[in-house]
Amino acid sequence: MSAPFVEAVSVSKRFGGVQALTDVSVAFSPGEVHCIVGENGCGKSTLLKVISGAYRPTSGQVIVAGTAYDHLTPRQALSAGVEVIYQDFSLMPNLTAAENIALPGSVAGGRRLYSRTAARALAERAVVRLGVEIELDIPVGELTVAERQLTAIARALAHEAKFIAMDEPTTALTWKEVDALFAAVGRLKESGVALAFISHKMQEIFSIAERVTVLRNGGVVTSGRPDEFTHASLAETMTGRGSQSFDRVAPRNKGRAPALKVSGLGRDPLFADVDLEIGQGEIVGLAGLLGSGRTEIAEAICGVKPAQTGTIEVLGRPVEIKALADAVKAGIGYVPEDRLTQGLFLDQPIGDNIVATHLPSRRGFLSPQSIERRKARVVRDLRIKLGKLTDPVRSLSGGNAQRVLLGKWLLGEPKVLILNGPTVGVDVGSKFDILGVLNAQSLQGLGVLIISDDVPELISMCHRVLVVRSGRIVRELSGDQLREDTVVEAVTAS
Amino acid sequence: MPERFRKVLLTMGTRASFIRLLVVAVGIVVVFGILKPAVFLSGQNLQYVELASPEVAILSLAMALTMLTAGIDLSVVSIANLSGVVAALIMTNGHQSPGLAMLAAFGVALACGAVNGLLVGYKHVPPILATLATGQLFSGLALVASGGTVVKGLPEPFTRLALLTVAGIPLIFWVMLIVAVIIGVVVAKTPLGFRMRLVGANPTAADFSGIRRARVLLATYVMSGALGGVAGLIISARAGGANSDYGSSYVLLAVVIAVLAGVDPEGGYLTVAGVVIAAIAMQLLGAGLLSLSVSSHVVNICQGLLLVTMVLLNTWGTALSGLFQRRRVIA
Amino acid sequence: MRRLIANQELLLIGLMAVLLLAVSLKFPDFFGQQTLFNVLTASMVGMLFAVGVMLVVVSGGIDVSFLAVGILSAYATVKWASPDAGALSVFAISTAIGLGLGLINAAVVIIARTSVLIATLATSSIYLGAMFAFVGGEVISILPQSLQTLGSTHLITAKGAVRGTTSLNVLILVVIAVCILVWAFLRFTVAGRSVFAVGGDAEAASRAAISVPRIRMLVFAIAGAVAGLAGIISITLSGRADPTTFMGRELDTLAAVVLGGVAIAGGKGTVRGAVLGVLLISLVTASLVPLGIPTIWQRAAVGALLIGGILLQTTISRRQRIRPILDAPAPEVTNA
Repeated sequence: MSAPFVEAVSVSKRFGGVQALTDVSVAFSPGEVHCIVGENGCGKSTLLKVISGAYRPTSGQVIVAGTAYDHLTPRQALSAGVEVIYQDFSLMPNLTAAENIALPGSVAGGRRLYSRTAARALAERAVVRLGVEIELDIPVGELTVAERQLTAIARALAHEAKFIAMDEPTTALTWKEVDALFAAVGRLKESGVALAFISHKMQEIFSIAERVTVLRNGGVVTSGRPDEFTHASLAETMTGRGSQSFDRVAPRNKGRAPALKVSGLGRDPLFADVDLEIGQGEIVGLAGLLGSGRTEIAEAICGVKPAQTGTIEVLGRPVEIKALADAVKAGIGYVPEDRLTQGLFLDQPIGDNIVATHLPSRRGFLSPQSIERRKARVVRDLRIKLGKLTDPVRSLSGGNAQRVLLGKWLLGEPKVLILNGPTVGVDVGSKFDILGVLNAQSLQGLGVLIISDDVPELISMCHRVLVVRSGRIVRELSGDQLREDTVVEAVTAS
Repeated sequence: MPERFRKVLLTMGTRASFIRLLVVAVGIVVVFGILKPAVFLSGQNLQYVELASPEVAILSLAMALTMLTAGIDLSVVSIANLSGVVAALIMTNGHQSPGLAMLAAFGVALACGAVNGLLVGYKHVPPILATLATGQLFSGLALVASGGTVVKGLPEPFTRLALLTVAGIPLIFWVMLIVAVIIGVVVAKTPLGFRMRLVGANPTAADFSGIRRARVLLATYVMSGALGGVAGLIISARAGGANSDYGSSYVLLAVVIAVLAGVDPEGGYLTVAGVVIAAIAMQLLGAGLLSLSVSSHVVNICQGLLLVTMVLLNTWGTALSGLFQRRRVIA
Repeated sequence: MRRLIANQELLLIGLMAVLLLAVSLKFPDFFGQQTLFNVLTASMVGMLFAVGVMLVVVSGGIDVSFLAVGILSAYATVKWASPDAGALSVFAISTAIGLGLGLINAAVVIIARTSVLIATLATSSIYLGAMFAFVGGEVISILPQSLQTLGSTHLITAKGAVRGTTSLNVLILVVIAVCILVWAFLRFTVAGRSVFAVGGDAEAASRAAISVPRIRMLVFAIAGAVAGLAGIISITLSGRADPTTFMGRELDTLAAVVLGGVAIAGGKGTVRGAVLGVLLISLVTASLVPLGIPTIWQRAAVGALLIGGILLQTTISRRQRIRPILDAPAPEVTNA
């Protein structure tokens, strides 16, 4: 193994009273994929920002290509070949992929004149080297998430990166796209680039990593080759707790009207002929690749983007849903896919987020007492850890923020709750809590529809799983068929 | 009780910017009170401020309301002028009573607000574009209606409204206070106000919370239009006439006042008391500078400098604590 | 077809053609040199302001100080210029003052970290106040001799359509040159492309090694200089310096820029679009009288046009986003 290209040596970082990193040492060698894993808030992102020069460590050093820096600047890092791809990719949406790939190099190189053809050629070379295909001539804003991810990597390659760090690059990717990404990562590795990969998805870690470092509470817990761990031991190291699982109770819905019945739902050109039924107390999974129409179906049922054809019944009564407000009235709740932009009012108080949908009022005026009662009830029932109810929701961790969202919908005592990716970006501990809440609610008769691409989670939670492909429900799996391999196969079949 | 009082004052949130504003307002009074006590603290000067503030304050409230929903209403002064012209024409050419004229003018203002609300809420046009365009249209219509001149000869019962005093304070100042209280109650005490704030804070999340965003926006711009109408009537009563481009600089002044008050143009925060205080403070500043017998143009300079200073303070005052808070979340 | 409508510039040209045709059918004389010269003359100053504003808007922000910058630069220059000052130096000084005022705008935006709208609101009221308080407020009707000469130097003078002569001032060449320069800057320089990058996503741009403050300084400097030039051209053409010339007309220029397809949120816009927007408004104004509509309707007409244009733009941009998911028209067989 060659000498490390980037190394963090005893790095500590404090923000005011918060110790984000404590004495962290990690090394990244050329031609090696090094996974940094840990729960949200463990310090992964802070570590990346120290390595890229965005944060100055409180103590410790960063060594890049043999030079030790007490205070590495972003420019020094960039010119030494250190590239960090953040979760938002940092691309300019209005520029073409080619420009996004070529422009930073021209800027950093101090060039004055810009040539479209030269930029196009440079971008093309980077894309070829990466071994992928990207539409180079349309604005990045019109590309898919996966294409944007690849554009960001191509940009790193275009200015001769020797170290590329990716912060949870697969969050928004479908399984197929993850494969393409991993293939690209493999090629980078062969060409001698040092790679850091931040993730908390077990499957990925084991399929790509050559070295795994686990962070917890800002410190390194352990580091080693992936074959030194099992899924369970790694999860335990990350959380510091043993794993939990659920007892699935069969729903007692014989003879009762289904919580939700959808027939012949369609919206051109997104989905068609969608029939599904969720019994009272039943938890149903909706599995499908990103872009399969799974989100569109959910958004049609809850009225965000209403369907053009078909009928929806709640507890046997037909309802007409033209907007989310109609769905709320009918007893349908929807926890959206993207918590940060769709779910929460980040800078508004936690309490106001809780009552945003079910807002008690009398004769046209808010009723403060019952508002306060509701806020307190949700915080208590869902065990939300917070400072004050008036703190902005931004101050909460991913798990607690998701509980706020869940509580906001449970307040209305819905008959059906649709959750789109309920545990994305939620740490392992909170994940079990959230799933536990759903389990408990379903026992009370709530019908639940979970949309997720976390197959093990769907299997552990759901009574049945429906598979969506190209805008249609193509399979239903239950009982013995409900296994990881069958679901994956059904979802990815073409 | 004090807690509740504070809440009504602030509606919610940033106490720091509100205190800064109070300091500035008091500072203006103290400085000019010391420099030119005889002129600045005279009843005449006070009366001037009381008469000149209402129209500005009401227009600023309209602007601030739309800013609460992360919008802006560049057409509000055009609405004011159009309704002023309509009222004036009904009274002069139509020989109708001031009451009827005011009602009609108010109706026109509501209609204008509805046009804005439809464009912004239901047609999803960015507010700055929608109101830029409708502002041109409304002031264009006012221009046509007035024939490009000042509509003069308003009946005495109407112009007297601007001079009437109740309990020693001009009627129009009372109107401003009542309007402010109504807006304050709507914003702080009703579901509509609550939803306006959420729509401003994150429109997408509002959609995903079952809030009928289009309706909320429609209501917001109708309210803004209504305030424009009230301001237009006050302006024409005070001026004894109406024309299509009275106070074209008021659009910018209203934005300045809203920002001075600490209203976040990005949405999600409004302080009604702050807007009224900021509007009065700007008038006091103007009156104070004039009492030093400087050119009225120095007032412009000072207003601009004051805005820059407040923005600087808002940025750097919170920067120290903000830096710390933001990073903790990222980490 | 949708592409055609989506292309705002083509749409503007189409609208202008329809308008020309409509008026020309009634008055064949309208379609001729005189209209062309009138529209161009009426648009010269507006085009420059629009191009400057377009630059700032593309970089992400709405500038409302350009008219204050323009008139302060030009009025101060004329006021203090000696009667025999050369035209070149007068133009250079006005442009330089504009550039300096633009840099002040940039400084406020950068240091106060505030939106361009709020920063330029403040500076514009400072600039206007400073002009009236320290420079003066009276109309100067006797310009330096060189400017008077320039104001009556025409590139082309031809016989009028009905009577008299019609002419096009030589300064149109300056306007065209500036437009070409700004276009080339945006198209062929790294800094120009960076303007789009900053307007698209400033945070991402700064992570891509682009110095956002430097780009902002550059943009405001250019916009200020262009505004200073526009101011002095306006004074030269009108033959007098009236400090109240542009007061309260900011929204008119912004309207033209928006009509030209410049995205108000930043990151998108062309010199061509801004110029076409101004030309369309001038043409509308020129067409009203022949169409039997009193000129007093001009503003309302532009407002209605603007609403139509914006509605069309918004509807189209909202419609383009859907990607089809359903591929096979026939349903697949369920094999569960």
